[in-house]
Amino acid sequence: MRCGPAASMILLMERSETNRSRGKRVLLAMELRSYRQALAAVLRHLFPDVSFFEVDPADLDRETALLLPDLVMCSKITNLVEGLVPNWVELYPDHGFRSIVSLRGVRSTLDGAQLSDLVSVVDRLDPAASL
Amino acid sequence: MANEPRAYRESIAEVIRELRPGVEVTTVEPERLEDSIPRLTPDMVVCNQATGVVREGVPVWVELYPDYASWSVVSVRGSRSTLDEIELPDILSIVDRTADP
Repeated sequence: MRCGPAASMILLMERSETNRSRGKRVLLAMELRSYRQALAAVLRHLFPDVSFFEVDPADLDRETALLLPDLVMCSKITNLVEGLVPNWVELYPDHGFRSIVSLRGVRSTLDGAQLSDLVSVVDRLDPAASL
Repeated sequence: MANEPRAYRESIAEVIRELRPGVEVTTVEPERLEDSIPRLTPDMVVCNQATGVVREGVPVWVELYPDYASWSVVSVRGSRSTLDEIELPDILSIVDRTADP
Protein backbone atom coordinates (compact mmCIF):
# COMPACT_ATOMS: atom_id res chain seq x y z
CA MET A 1 0.00 0.00 0.00
CA ARG A 2 1.40 3.39 -0.97
CA CYS A 3 0.89 6.46 1.17
CA GLY A 4 1.70 10.12 0.88
CA PRO A 5 4.42 12.07 2.72
CA ALA A 6 2.11 13.13 5.57
CA ALA A 7 0.89 9.59 6.16
CA SER A 8 4.45 8.32 5.98
CA MET A 9 5.49 10.84 8.61
CA ILE A 10 2.62 9.79 10.89
CA LEU A 11 3.61 6.16 10.42
CA LEU A 12 7.21 6.94 11.33
CA MET A 13 6.12 8.92 14.39
CA GLU A 14 3.93 6.06 15.56
CA ARG A 15 6.78 3.63 15.09
CA SER A 16 9.09 6.00 16.94
CA GLU A 17 6.70 6.13 19.88
CA THR A 18 6.50 2.33 19.96
CA ASN A 19 10.27 2.08 19.76
CA ARG A 20 10.90 4.25 22.80
CA SER A 21 10.17 1.34 25.09
CA ARG A 22 12.07 -1.35 23.21
CA GLY A 23 15.68 -2.42 23.47
CA LYS A 24 18.49 -1.05 21.40
CA ARG A 25 18.68 -2.05 17.75
CA VAL A 26 21.79 -2.01 15.63
CA LEU A 27 21.69 -2.59 11.89
CA LEU A 28 24.83 -3.91 10.23
CA ALA A 29 24.97 -3.45 6.46
CA MET A 30 28.63 -3.55 5.55
CA GLU A 31 29.83 -5.08 2.31
CA LEU A 32 31.51 -8.49 2.27
CA ARG A 33 29.38 -10.96 4.13
CA SER A 34 31.90 -12.75 6.33
CA TYR A 35 33.15 -9.43 7.66
CA ARG A 36 29.61 -8.37 8.51
CA GLN A 37 28.89 -11.74 10.11
CA ALA A 38 32.08 -11.70 12.18
CA LEU A 39 31.49 -8.21 13.52
CA ALA A 40 27.88 -9.07 14.34
CA ALA A 41 28.98 -12.22 16.18
CA VAL A 42 31.46 -10.30 18.32
CA LEU A 43 28.99 -7.53 19.15
CA ARG A 44 26.21 -10.01 20.00
CA HIS A 45 28.57 -11.72 22.41
CA LEU A 46 29.59 -8.46 24.06
CA PHE A 47 26.12 -6.85 24.14
CA PRO A 48 23.54 -9.56 24.78
CA ASP A 49 20.83 -6.97 25.50
CA VAL A 50 21.22 -5.26 22.13
CA SER A 51 19.56 -6.64 19.00
CA PHE A 52 21.85 -6.82 15.99
CA PHE A 53 20.42 -7.19 12.50
CA GLU A 54 22.53 -8.09 9.48
CA VAL A 55 21.36 -6.98 6.05
CA ASP A 56 22.78 -6.77 2.57
CA PRO A 57 23.84 -3.19 1.72
CA ALA A 58 21.28 -3.15 -1.09
CA ASP A 59 18.53 -3.48 1.54
CA LEU A 60 19.89 -0.82 3.89
CA ASP A 61 17.25 1.85 3.26
CA ARG A 62 14.31 -0.56 3.33
CA GLU A 63 15.45 -2.24 6.55
CA THR A 64 16.27 1.09 8.18
CA ALA A 65 12.73 2.31 7.53
CA LEU A 66 11.31 -0.94 8.91
CA LEU A 67 13.50 -1.32 11.99
CA LEU A 68 14.25 2.28 12.91
CA PRO A 69 17.55 1.22 14.47
CA ASP A 70 19.42 3.22 17.08
CA LEU A 71 22.67 2.68 15.23
CA VAL A 72 23.62 1.75 11.68
CA MET A 73 27.04 0.49 10.65
CA CYS A 74 27.51 0.39 6.89
CA SER A 75 30.06 0.86 4.14
CA LYS A 76 28.18 3.70 2.46
CA ILE A 77 25.81 6.00 4.28
CA THR A 78 22.58 7.01 2.57
CA ASN A 79 20.40 10.11 2.88
CA LEU A 80 17.65 8.05 4.45
CA VAL A 81 19.97 6.68 7.15
CA GLU A 82 21.32 10.16 7.85
CA GLY A 83 17.78 11.45 8.17
CA LEU A 84 16.30 8.67 10.30
CA VAL A 85 19.04 7.18 12.43
CA PRO A 86 20.53 9.06 15.39
CA ASN A 87 23.84 7.21 15.32
CA TRP A 88 25.75 5.75 12.41
CA VAL A 89 29.18 4.59 11.36
CA GLU A 90 30.30 4.70 7.74
CA LEU A 91 32.99 2.07 7.94
CA TYR A 92 35.88 2.19 5.48
CA PRO A 93 33.87 3.87 2.67
CA ASP A 94 35.27 3.12 -0.78
CA HIS A 95 37.64 0.68 0.93
CA GLY A 96 39.49 3.61 2.44
CA PHE A 97 41.41 3.97 5.69
CA ARG A 98 39.08 6.57 7.15
CA SER A 99 35.68 5.94 8.71
CA ILE A 100 33.05 8.45 9.78
CA VAL A 101 31.15 8.25 13.05
CA SER A 102 28.04 10.29 13.77
CA LEU A 103 26.66 10.15 17.31
CA ARG A 104 23.50 12.20 17.83
CA GLY A 105 24.57 14.59 15.10
CA VAL A 106 28.15 15.01 16.25
CA ARG A 107 30.35 13.81 13.47
CA SER A 108 33.96 12.67 13.73
CA THR A 109 36.45 10.75 11.62
CA LEU A 110 38.25 7.63 12.61
CA ASP A 111 41.48 6.57 10.93
CA GLY A 112 42.17 2.85 10.76
CA ALA A 113 39.11 1.91 12.79
CA GLN A 114 39.71 -0.94 15.21
CA LEU A 115 37.26 -3.39 16.68
CA SER A 116 37.56 -1.63 20.03
CA ASP A 117 36.39 1.63 18.39
CA LEU A 118 33.23 -0.06 17.13
CA VAL A 119 32.60 -1.68 20.50
CA SER A 120 32.95 1.75 22.05
CA VAL A 121 30.34 3.20 19.69
CA VAL A 122 27.80 0.53 20.67
CA ASP A 123 28.69 1.05 24.30
CA ARG A 124 27.90 4.76 23.98
CA LEU A 125 24.34 4.21 22.81
CA ASP A 126 22.34 6.28 25.23
CA PRO A 127 18.74 5.37 26.09
CA ALA A 128 17.83 8.99 25.46
CA ALA A 129 19.10 8.62 21.92
CA SER A 130 16.32 6.23 20.93
CA LEU A 131 14.11 7.35 18.12
CA MET B 1 45.19 -13.41 10.36
CA ALA B 2 46.55 -10.68 8.08
CA ASN B 3 43.54 -9.42 6.18
CA GLU B 4 42.40 -5.84 5.88
CA PRO B 5 40.61 -3.80 7.15
CA ARG B 6 41.74 -4.06 10.72
CA ALA B 7 38.38 -4.13 12.51
CA TYR B 8 37.28 -7.09 10.41
CA ARG B 9 40.58 -8.90 10.95
CA GLU B 10 40.15 -8.44 14.68
CA SER B 11 36.50 -9.54 14.51
CA ILE B 12 37.24 -12.81 12.72
CA ALA B 13 40.13 -13.46 15.10
CA GLU B 14 37.86 -12.91 18.11
CA VAL B 15 35.23 -15.26 16.72
CA ILE B 16 37.78 -18.03 16.14
CA ARG B 17 39.26 -17.54 19.61
CA GLU B 18 35.82 -17.73 21.17
CA LEU B 19 34.45 -20.66 19.16
CA ARG B 20 37.68 -22.61 18.74
CA PRO B 21 39.48 -22.13 22.06
CA GLY B 22 42.09 -24.76 21.20
CA VAL B 23 43.31 -22.70 18.24
CA GLU B 24 45.99 -20.05 18.73
CA VAL B 25 45.15 -16.99 16.65
CA THR B 26 47.64 -14.23 15.87
CA THR B 27 46.84 -11.03 14.00
CA VAL B 28 49.48 -9.15 12.02
CA GLU B 29 49.43 -6.20 9.66
CA PRO B 30 49.43 -7.37 6.03
CA GLU B 31 52.84 -5.84 5.38
CA ARG B 32 54.27 -7.94 8.21
CA LEU B 33 52.80 -11.21 6.97
CA GLU B 34 55.82 -12.54 5.09
CA ASP B 35 58.19 -11.73 7.97
CA SER B 36 55.83 -13.45 10.39
CA ILE B 37 55.62 -16.78 8.60
CA PRO B 38 59.13 -18.09 9.40
CA ARG B 39 58.71 -16.92 13.00
CA LEU B 40 55.19 -18.23 13.65
CA THR B 41 55.13 -21.16 11.18
CA PRO B 42 51.32 -20.96 11.01
CA ASP B 43 49.16 -23.90 9.99
CA MET B 44 46.73 -21.52 8.31
CA VAL B 45 46.84 -17.95 7.02
CA VAL B 46 43.95 -15.64 6.19
CA CYS B 47 45.00 -12.67 4.06
CA ASN B 48 43.87 -10.56 1.11
CA GLN B 49 46.84 -11.37 -1.14
CA ALA B 50 48.47 -14.77 -0.86
CA THR B 51 52.11 -14.16 -1.70
CA GLY B 52 54.57 -16.81 -2.86
CA VAL B 53 55.79 -17.26 0.71
CA VAL B 54 52.25 -17.99 1.84
CA ARG B 55 51.42 -20.27 -1.07
CA GLU B 56 54.61 -22.28 -0.73
CA GLY B 57 55.11 -22.25 3.00
CA VAL B 58 51.68 -22.51 4.62
CA PRO B 59 49.61 -25.71 4.39
CA VAL B 60 46.23 -23.96 4.50
CA TRP B 61 45.52 -20.43 3.35
CA VAL B 62 42.54 -18.27 2.53
CA GLU B 63 42.90 -15.35 0.14
CA LEU B 64 39.95 -13.36 1.35
CA TYR B 65 38.30 -10.92 -1.05
CA PRO B 66 41.41 -10.12 -3.15
CA ASP B 67 41.12 -6.50 -4.32
CA TYR B 68 37.74 -6.39 -2.55
CA ALA B 69 36.23 -8.90 -4.95
CA SER B 70 33.25 -10.90 -3.72
CA TRP B 71 35.10 -14.20 -4.13
CA SER B 72 37.86 -15.80 -2.12
CA VAL B 73 40.42 -18.51 -2.80
CA VAL B 74 40.93 -21.38 -0.38
CA SER B 75 43.87 -23.77 -0.46
CA VAL B 76 43.88 -26.78 1.84
CA ARG B 77 47.09 -28.75 1.54
CA GLY B 78 47.39 -28.02 -2.16
CA SER B 79 43.74 -28.50 -3.04
CA ARG B 80 42.54 -25.12 -4.24
CA SER B 81 39.00 -23.84 -4.66
CA THR B 82 37.21 -20.56 -5.17
CA LEU B 83 34.29 -19.52 -3.01
CA ASP B 84 31.89 -16.79 -4.00
CA GLU B 85 30.58 -14.77 -1.05
CA ILE B 86 32.46 -16.72 1.59
CA GLU B 87 30.65 -16.78 4.93
CA LEU B 88 31.89 -16.90 8.49
CA PRO B 89 30.91 -20.61 8.88
CA ASP B 90 33.06 -21.37 5.82
CA ILE B 91 36.07 -19.84 7.55
CA LEU B 92 35.36 -21.79 10.73
CA SER B 93 35.05 -24.96 8.67
CA ILE B 94 38.48 -24.31 7.12
CA VAL B 95 39.91 -23.78 10.61
CA ASP B 96 38.44 -27.15 11.59
CA ARG B 97 39.92 -28.85 8.55
CA THR B 98 43.29 -27.31 9.38
CA ALA B 99 43.23 -28.53 12.95
CA ASP B 100 41.83 -31.97 12.10
CA PRO B 101 42.88 -33.01 8.59
